[in-house]
Amino acid sequence: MNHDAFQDRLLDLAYGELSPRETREVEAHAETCPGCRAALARIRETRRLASALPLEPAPERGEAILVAAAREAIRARARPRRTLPPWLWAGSLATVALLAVAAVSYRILALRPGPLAPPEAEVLLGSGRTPAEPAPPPTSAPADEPTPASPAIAAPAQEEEARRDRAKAPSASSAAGAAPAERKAVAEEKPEAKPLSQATDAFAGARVEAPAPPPPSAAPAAPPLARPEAAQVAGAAGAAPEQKRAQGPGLIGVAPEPARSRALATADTARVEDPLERHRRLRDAGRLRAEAVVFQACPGEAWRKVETDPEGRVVAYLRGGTLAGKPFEAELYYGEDGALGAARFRAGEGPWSTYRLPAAPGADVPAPLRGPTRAEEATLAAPPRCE
Amino acid sequence: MPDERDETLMVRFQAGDVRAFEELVRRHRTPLFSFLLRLTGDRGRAEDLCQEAFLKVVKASEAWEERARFQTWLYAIARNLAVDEARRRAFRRTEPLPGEGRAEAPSADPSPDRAAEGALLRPKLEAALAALPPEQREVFLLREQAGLRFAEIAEVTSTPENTVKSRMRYALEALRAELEARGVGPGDADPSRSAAR
Repeated sequence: MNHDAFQDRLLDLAYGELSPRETREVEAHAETCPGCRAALARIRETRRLASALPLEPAPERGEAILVAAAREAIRARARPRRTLPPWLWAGSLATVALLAVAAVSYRILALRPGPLAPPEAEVLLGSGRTPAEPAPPPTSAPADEPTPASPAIAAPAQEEEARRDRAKAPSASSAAGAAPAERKAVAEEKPEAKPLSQATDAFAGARVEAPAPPPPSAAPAAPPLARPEAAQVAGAAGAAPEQKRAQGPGLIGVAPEPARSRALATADTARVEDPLERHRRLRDAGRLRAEAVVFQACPGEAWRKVETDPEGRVVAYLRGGTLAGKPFEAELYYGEDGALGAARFRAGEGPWSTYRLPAAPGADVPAPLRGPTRAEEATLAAPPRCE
Repeated sequence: MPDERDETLMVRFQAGDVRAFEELVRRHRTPLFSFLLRLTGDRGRAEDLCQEAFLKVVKASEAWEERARFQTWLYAIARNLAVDEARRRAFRRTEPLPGEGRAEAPSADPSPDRAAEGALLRPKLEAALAALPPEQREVFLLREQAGLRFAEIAEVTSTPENTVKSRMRYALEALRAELEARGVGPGDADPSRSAAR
């Protein structure tokens, strides 16, 4: 260690910051170096002078405040933390909000009311031709003389063929384009927009076996009840598979599906109770409310009865009247989702025929079963069908 | 408890022992207040800063780690508070930095012994100290009154240790010259007090 290095250590020596060995070395150097010895003496003398500077006592009054603050801090630490980190709060709130939106959206998609377009009803009941095809002239298929060779009887076969063609369209498309192709097919089947009274008729344009609506003067000659027994087996067994495929999950952000797909989806869902069973359950439980109305000078619908559940949702839409001089009763049953799901019909005092949606292709459905496809439209105020 | 290290007391305070904190306050409050008083030259500001520094210790005690020396940590808190406060005051109105160019306020209630002792030397020492540049006064006070080592002063002031020692040398030389100019010689000091440090 040279002189400069020793000189640098004088301050440390004066303040006792050297190790014992370094202290001895620097002190030994200072003994032999007049300059370092003088510098060390000056430092020590100044320290002695400065030591006369006393400490200033702190005011007493502040100490109690500090102790109180310390006690409070300890109490706060001992308390369980009730707050969550901000990011966890934000995440939890966002999750809850998303779940709420998902639940509401699912319910809206599942229960959203909307009239079925005629072709949709046609597919549901599986009875008819495409609306683009002209209805056979009334004179070519007298309903009271149904024969296998008549155009009215041949029509179901044509319809079945057309249905198969429609069913092939999605499958011929690529997987990616299947859905658009199906939507296109549906769009092609859709007729132009109709007035609400026609659009709510599940049977409008769907009947093949029965002649097209005749002029008022020909109505008595075309009774729709010519073959009631032929329609008794119409049921869900023959539901078109491509229509079932159209059902989709009620995902958030998915555009609303056509009413037909929704109806099929809800009909296939296990949680949806059979409309007839629902009606029976409510009736047996005494939870049905009924309202009726009588239409004067309206043979096609002499009376109407609407049964609702405690929430006011229409469960059954019952009508009676005469058609071509023959009495009938027609009943439409709606599911919890508000969709028309089943129907019953009988002529006079005859047996009841039951129909479920979707019906088999080509099934014969009596004309009086034409009615609202949505429970919301099945009201007493709806205009009667007097023809 | 009086023989316990500061760091041990701090650990006990972290565990919920208020008496340990009281002991820390008892040990360090007066030296800290003296440092702040002579650094700022204002008794009221020094008192506020001293309280604020200990309150910060309370708030930050959970984050304190035992490997850090408590005294260094405390003085770093106090010094930073003083610097920030001086900057705010300088922003509001033009005035010197802490204690710059002003004599510190003498104690309002000195003890009889101190009064007798300081009758001759203390006012001159106070004046000589107040005349030091703030950075030299700061280092001098931290070393002489707070008892921090040079390495710790370097940590508190965020300054290289060699710079701290240089400032200390300049401060000692300036004090000596200032005292000599005021008629204070080596024989006026009390040797027994400097031996204690």
